[in-house]
Formats: sequence, structure tokens, C-alpha cells
Amino acid sequence: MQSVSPKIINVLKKMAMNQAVYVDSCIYRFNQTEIDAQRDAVLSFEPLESKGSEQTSKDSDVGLSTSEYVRRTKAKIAILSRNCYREQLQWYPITKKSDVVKLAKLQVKNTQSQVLFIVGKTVNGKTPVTYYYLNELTNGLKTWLFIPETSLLGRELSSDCLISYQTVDPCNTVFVSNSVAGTVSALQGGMIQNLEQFALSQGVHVQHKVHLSVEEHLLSLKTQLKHLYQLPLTGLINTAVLSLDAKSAPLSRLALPALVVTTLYLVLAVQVSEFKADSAKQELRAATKEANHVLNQYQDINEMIGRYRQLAENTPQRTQLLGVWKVLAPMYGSGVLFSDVQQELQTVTLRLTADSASLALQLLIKQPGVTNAKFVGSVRRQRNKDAATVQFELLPSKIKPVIKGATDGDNLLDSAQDKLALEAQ
Amino acid sequence: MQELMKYKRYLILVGVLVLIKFVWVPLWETKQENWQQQQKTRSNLNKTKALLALKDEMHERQQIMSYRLQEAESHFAQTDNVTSYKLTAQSKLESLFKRHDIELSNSSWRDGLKNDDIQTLLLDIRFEGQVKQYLHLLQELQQNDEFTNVSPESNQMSIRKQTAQKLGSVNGRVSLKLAVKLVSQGAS
Repeated sequence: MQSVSPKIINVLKKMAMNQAVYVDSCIYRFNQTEIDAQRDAVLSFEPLESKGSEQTSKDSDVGLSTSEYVRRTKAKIAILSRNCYREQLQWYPITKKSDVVKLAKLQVKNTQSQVLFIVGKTVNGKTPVTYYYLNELTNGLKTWLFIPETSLLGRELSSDCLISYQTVDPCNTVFVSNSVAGTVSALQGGMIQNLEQFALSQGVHVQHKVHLSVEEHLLSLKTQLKHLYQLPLTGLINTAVLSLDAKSAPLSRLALPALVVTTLYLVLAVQVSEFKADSAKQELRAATKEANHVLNQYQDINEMIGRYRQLAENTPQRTQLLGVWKVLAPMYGSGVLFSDVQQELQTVTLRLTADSASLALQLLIKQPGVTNAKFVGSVRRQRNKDAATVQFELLPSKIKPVIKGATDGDNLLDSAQDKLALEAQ
Repeated sequence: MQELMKYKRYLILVGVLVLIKFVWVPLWETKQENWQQQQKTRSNLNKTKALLALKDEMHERQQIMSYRLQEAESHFAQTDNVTSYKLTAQSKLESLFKRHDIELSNSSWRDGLKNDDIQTLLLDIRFEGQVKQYLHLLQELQQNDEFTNVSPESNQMSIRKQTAQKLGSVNGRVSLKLAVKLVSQGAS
């Protein structure tokens, strides 16, 4: 888990670095291996694209496929080599920065080549503007921002320090200093052959001279890129790509069809959804009619169940007319004589005479439907017979209040059994 | 006109915004509403269809229940006048006892419970006769369709002269419960 976060950070760093390219006669990207990344170092530039006739050979040299080539030129920031532009410093007697910006924009509006500008700090009621006139090396670049490399290198430069370095291709020496007007630079040539001459031309007192090696040059660029947000970017935007006109041209072509298509889609979607909703409603209405019928049936059934239960509570139990005699018949057959029979609902009390009252009770208990059979009072023995009073309960045969299953007939004693009871006498 | 052309972009933007606000958004909302309504309707439809699947079973149960209810109601005598019913029922029961040579010494009516249109009546009868005849009487009472609404409430019997060969004679009192369904004059 610990090794994951550095990897993610490296990937993010690499993605950020891929957003910047260095433009000279070729287009380069910052080549940084994983080991370099750990040391926070940039070792070299890797050429991506060459201009003009060299393009094909360079591409083939680095072995880029077409898709890779397109992807790599999707960088959003182009650091322009000093070979890509010429500088011009101009002072305006205006202190309001927004007015200076407007003026600078007006100034660069009608120029033939693309011009970048950086507005400096106001000094003595005057504001300096450094214009960068781009040459043909930047033609066709689709990046959003053009950053002149000298503006980056000179950003942190102290006023008494001069630096010199060599551009990548073609190999020219560049001098950079930081004056009151901002960063100024010049290519070696003509009147300016060394740093002293450059310092004289800019009116700068030289105390420190620094010559940047190729690696230092790259590292410095990379370091300053991190502080890119501190630069006044207003004049560094690639207007050819990001201007409203440039954007609106293809957009305006697509706008009307897109509007029409979207509107048509929405109208169609509304119609379809409306139709589907209507058809579903109609279907539901038809189904509801039928469902109401079923619900009425359900209600009827419930009402009938209620009525059935009410009837069941009051239904006459004709089976009990002979119920007690069905119990007594087998006992009578076994020699038991009855002198008194009392039946109050399910409770039956008998006074009987038998050879053995206990046997008679046993016989009674064996009869189906007899429960809680017991002697009431004492058993008297006279004339070799037992006289006893027995009480028991007959299980009721109720109509079951359920829809399925039992009917009245199920609970009724069948007449055949009743007949048997009578025949037993 | 040139002034207008200057603001062409803004006018187009405003037009698009107006289109979005007053055409697209209402259309989108209507579409969403319709879909939601359709989904709700479909869900209700599925529930209704599930209910309709029970249609046949429900019909079958209604038929069964109707038959059982009819059968249960057949156990009740129907009358719109309890007094005249009492007279008729008493007369029938007396003739039944007479037919079986059971002598009646006393009979009296009591009103039982009334549950909506169901009224129970109690008839107390004192009788005297042979046990065998009494059992025959009970058997007929049970089997005769004229007395489907009669059930015993209580029964007290004193049996005399019973032997192994003869059931003997009985002197007793029986309370019979008669279930009656009261019907209104119009319905009858």
C-alpha cells in the first residue's frame, strides 16, 4: 500500500509533464525516467516532431506511430525556444494595468505574425510591455499557451545576475538578464558577442555571470514551470486556438443541426412516452374493470363466510337427538340397566344398575365421543348388583366454519350407525 | 442592423438559452413525468394482472361457498310470523308424539336468542310412554326433513321396569331447540 502512492504521484507528474513541450526547430518533450523522477531531474529533451522536411525522418527515428504522434502533440503548453521569437520592449505612459493590456491587445491585433506580450511593473508612471514576435517555427502549433523560455528563466533572476545558455537546435547562445522592465534577452550575434556587451546594451551592472549547461537549462525550465501560474498569462494565450472566432467557426456549423436534433429528439421522446403512458393507462383501465369483478367476488365470499359462521353458531344439531342412545346401546347390550337419564347440552348423567359398576364405567369410557366419564356419589351394592350414578360429556359435532372440506353432512352421524344403535336394543 | 450584427453572438446565446428554458426543459420534464407515470401504471397493471390470475379460483370458491351457504340455510325454517310458526311446529310435533304412542302431558314455549334474522325457540315437552317408542320418535325426528331445524337442548328421563329383555317405560321432559329464519313480509 505504501508503494502505491508514490507510483500514483509519479504517474500524475508524468501526465503533467506530458502537457508541456519545448519548441525549437523540433518539438521536444521532457524526457524523464523513473529514476530521474525520484531525483527530480530532467536529463534530456526527446524530439517529438520536426518542422518541414525533417519531420518524416525524425518521426521514423523515434519510431512514433500515428496515434502516438497525435497523442503527444496534444500538449497544452509550449515553451518557446529563444530561436522562435524576437523581443521588443515598449514603455507606455499608463499606470492602469487593464488599460495597458487593452492597448497591448490592440497593438498585436493586426500584426501579421502572432505576437505574445507580458506586461511588466509600472515604474515612474510608465508601464513596460515586452512583445514576443513569433516566427515560422511556431506555425501550426495547437497548444493553448506559448511561454517564451526567457520569461521563465528570467523570472527568479536577480537584477545583478546575467545568465547565458545555448539553445537546442540551432545551437545559438542566449543572454538573459532581469532589468526594471522585466526579463530581457538577446541572441549572440552582431554587436553582442558576450555577456559584457549584452550587459552594456541593457544598462545592467554585472556582478554574477552564470552559464547554464544543457541539463541546468532543462532543470531550470522544469522548475520554473511549476511557478507558471505566477506569470501574467493574458498575453501568452494562443489566440489562434482559443479565440472565440476560431472556436465558434466549427461550433456554429454544428450548432443548428445539434439544436434541431435535440429538439426533435425531445419532441419525439415526449410523444413516445405519452403514447406508451396512454396505452398502459388504457390497459390498466380494462384490467381494473375485470379486477373489480374479482374483488366483488372476493367481497361476496367474505360476506358469505361471515353469514356461514353466523348460521353455524345457530345450526340445529340433529345428530345429538340419538347421540346419547348410541353410547347407551352397547352398554345395554352388556347387561347394564338405566333408570335415569339426564342430558343438559353435552353433559349426560346416568343412573345405572349393573353387575359391576366399574366395568360399566370402563365400557362407557370406550365408547366414541365420551369424555370425562366419572362416578357421581357412592356405588351401592344390593341384590348382587351395583347401583351407581355416572356423569360424562359427549363431544359435540359442530359444523366447521371453513369454506373447503367439511360440510354439514361430514359432521352428521350417518343414519346407518343410528339404526344400529336402535337395533341393539 | 449593424448594431444587431455586433451583438449577434449574444443574441444567439440568448436564443439558445430561451430555447433551453422554455422548450427543452419543459419537454424533458414532460418526458420524465410520462415515463414515471408509465412505470407506475405498469406496476399497478402487474398487480392487477396478479389479481386477475385468481379469477377462476375465486369464481370456483364463490360457487362452493354459495352452495354451502344454501345448504346451511336449508336447516332453518323460514317464517315471517313467529306465532303462527310456533302453532304449526307444535301441532306437527304433537302429531309426531301421538303417532309414536307417546303421551304429552305438558308443552310450553320459551324464546331463545335472536341473532340478526336468526331466532331460536325452545319448546319444553313433558311426555310419558315406552322407551322403545320414544327412540323411534327420536329417530324420525332426526330423519324427517320437516324437522331439520330441531335439535335437543336438554332431556330428562326416568326409566322404569327396564330389564335385559325390555327397554321399559319412560317419563320425562325434553327441551327442543328450533332454529327459525325470520323473513320480512316483502321478502316472503
